[in-house]
Formats: sequence, C-alpha cells, structure tokens
Amino acid sequence: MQSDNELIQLVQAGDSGKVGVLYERHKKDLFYYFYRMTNDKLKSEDLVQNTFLKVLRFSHHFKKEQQFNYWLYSIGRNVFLDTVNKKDVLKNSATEDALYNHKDTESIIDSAMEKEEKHEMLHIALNRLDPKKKEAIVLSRFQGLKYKDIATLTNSTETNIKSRIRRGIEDLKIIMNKLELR
Amino acid sequence: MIDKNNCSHAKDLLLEEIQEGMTPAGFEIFLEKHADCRQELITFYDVIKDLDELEKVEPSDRMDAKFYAMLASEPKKNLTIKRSNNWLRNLMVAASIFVVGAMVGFYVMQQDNATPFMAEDTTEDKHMILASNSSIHRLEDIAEMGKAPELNDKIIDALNQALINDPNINVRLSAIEAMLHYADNPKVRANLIKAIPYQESPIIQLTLAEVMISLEERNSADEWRTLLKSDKIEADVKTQLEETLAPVLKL
Repeated sequence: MQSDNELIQLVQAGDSGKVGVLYERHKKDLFYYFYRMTNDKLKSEDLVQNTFLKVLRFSHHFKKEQQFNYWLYSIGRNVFLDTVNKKDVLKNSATEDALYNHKDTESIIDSAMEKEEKHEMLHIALNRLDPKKKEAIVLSRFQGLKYKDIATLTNSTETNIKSRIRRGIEDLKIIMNKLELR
Repeated sequence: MIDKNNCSHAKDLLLEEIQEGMTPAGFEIFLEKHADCRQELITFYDVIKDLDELEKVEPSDRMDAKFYAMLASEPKKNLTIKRSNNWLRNLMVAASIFVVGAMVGFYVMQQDNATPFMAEDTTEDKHMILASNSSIHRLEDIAEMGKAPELNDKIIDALNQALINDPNINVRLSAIEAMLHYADNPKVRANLIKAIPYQESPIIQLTLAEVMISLEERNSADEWRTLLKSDKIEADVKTQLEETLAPVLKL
C-alpha cells in the first residue's frame, strides 16, 4: 500500500487522481476536527472539501521530508481560520463571563439535563471553551497529534500547549458543574 | 492543604504520560506517586476519558459527492492537447480523464491490500520500452513523453505498449493522458482505438469510452463491439459503457 507521502508525490507529478485516495484516507478525521471546532456539520463538510482543493492546487508546496498528515492539518487549520472571523477565533480569548455564562439555546441545555447525558453536557461545555484551549484539546484528544506538532502548527510552544490543554480540561469541569447546578 | 501549583505540575505530567499511552494500571501507579493531588487528578482524568468517549458525528454522503464534483471541475494540471484548435473538445477530454483519474484513486486504494493486478502482473512486457520496474519511474517517463517538444515513432510506440501491456492501471491511465496530448496525430488516435479490445480494467474501459466520445471518434465502433461481446467486461460496466457509447455504437 502506498504511503501518504508517496501519494502526494504522485499528485505533484501530475497524477491528480491520487488526491482521491488521500481524501478517502483522511476525510473522516479531518471532518471530525472541523466539526469539533465549528459544531456545524455542513460547514465542516465544506471545509474538508476546501482543504483537499488546496491540497490539489498547492501540492507543489509539499516537501518530501514533511509528514503528510501534519501538512494536511496545517492546510486545514488555515482553511478553517479563513472562514471564521479571526478577531473572534484563536486571536482573542473568550472572557470568563462568556465562558461560564454563555447563552446557549435553553432547549438544548434542558434536553441534556433531562436526559442526564454527561456527554451532551460535555459537548456543550466544549463549545463554550476558549477557542485556543479548545483547539489544543481537539488536536490532542480527538486528532491524536503530539504536543510538539500542535505547538508547531499553532506557532506556540510545547509548554504552552500542555498548559492550554490542562487549563481547558479544568475549565470544562467548571462549566459542566455550572450547567449541572442550573 | 494541597498546593494548587503542584497539582498543575502533576496534571502536566499526567498529560505527558497519557500521550505516551498510559494504561489504567499506570494511572493507579501515577496516583500513588502524587497522593496529595489524588482527587484532583481523578477528576481531571475522568474529564479526559469522557472526552475520548464523546460520540462522533459522521459526515453525510453529500461530502463525497461534492468532493468528486469539485475534483472533476478542477482543470487538469499540464493537460493540453497539442496541435488541436478545438478548445471545447480539449476541455471535455481533459475533464473526462480527470474524473476517471479521481475515481481510480479510490479504486486502487481498495485494491492495494490484496496484491493489486495479480493476474496482469504476469503479462509479458518484452515489448515495453518503458522498462523500469518502478511504476513511479514509468509514470515519470510517460509524463516526460507527454511534454516532448516533438512527437516521434519511438514515443508513439512506447505509449502504445504502455497502454496495452503495463500491469499498473495508473501507468495505463497516464499513457492515455499522454496520448491525448497528441490526439491530432492519426497514428496515436489509431493506437487508442486498437487498444480498446485489450483492456480488462473497468476503469480503463470507461476512460477510453469517455475519450472516444470526447474525440468524436466514430471509427472505434467495431473495437467496442468486440469488447462488449467478449468476457473481459463486467455486466454493470457493460451497461454503463453501452450508455456512454450510444452515439458511437448507433452509427
């Protein structure tokens, strides 16, 4: 079976159809990443498509010594940032008030409370989290990226990433406790 | 009293251990080492476990449909048909090759694990000019031929042999693509037609059908009839080919 790096090099050589193989291999993981970040299924599907469009158009930027998976996420992250308001996402941290007193749709919370679904509460809490912390948690826990790679991807340091994840998990617990007290 | 900073440090250490694949037993050992932060660490660890168990939302079929439509509409890199003034025809041919090229990607991926092209690997390639054992090298050679400043008999023959004999589907697809660059050459067009009955791969068969329609090559009817009558064709592919080739076969 051809590796991702072999396939992208074939794309570079003009065998554009190989993008289809890379898409089939990575579409779900990339979709999960976008979905966790946007909480919007349709938007996430479009982001996956736009990411692979860029993979196709900018395949010549890929360097042999790179890991394809990492390169893919760096493109995906830029595609994501291009589609959202950068002033709101990953630049300015959310305020404490916004974090813990977020106005969710009442029916969503009520529904989760009624069902006593811890996972639904966690899902709500995740979407209230400071975007930088959320991104670090998503890339680490859901996408399986190493702290070192997340640091490079986000122009940060490994120490900062670990700190963001730790504080993000602590915030999740606080938000969930607040939700449970409602 | 628990020093909160110490627990932060313990949590950072825990995150490192988790990244390295810590087991539940390993977590118990970790708790023993950091007994002062035991309760904080358990709460912290529980949130991580809950995160890992969050249900995944799956993408819809719409995503695939949109992706392949996007791929089909993307202009094919470096694909131009030389010596042709019919830009619309060129565009149609490029688009048809591109669509099937994208399809073959998934097809090949499905086949990769099961020793692909087993039956065809035994094909004798004594006539091959593209003699490298590496399909990547052969793809590179074909790409070069497609960009050659001047077409000659050696290139025509090499591309023809690749299309008929090469065991790798992508090499054969690339040969078709390169031949399309010279589609106005009568020998090249004749070779594309003559190759039809030799093809056993559905992807190649469908590609050649698209090419013939795009080139408006009505002289290929006999070759298609030969192929359609043979046992080299799968039933569903036959139906698809008959639909695609209707303008050619009804002549």
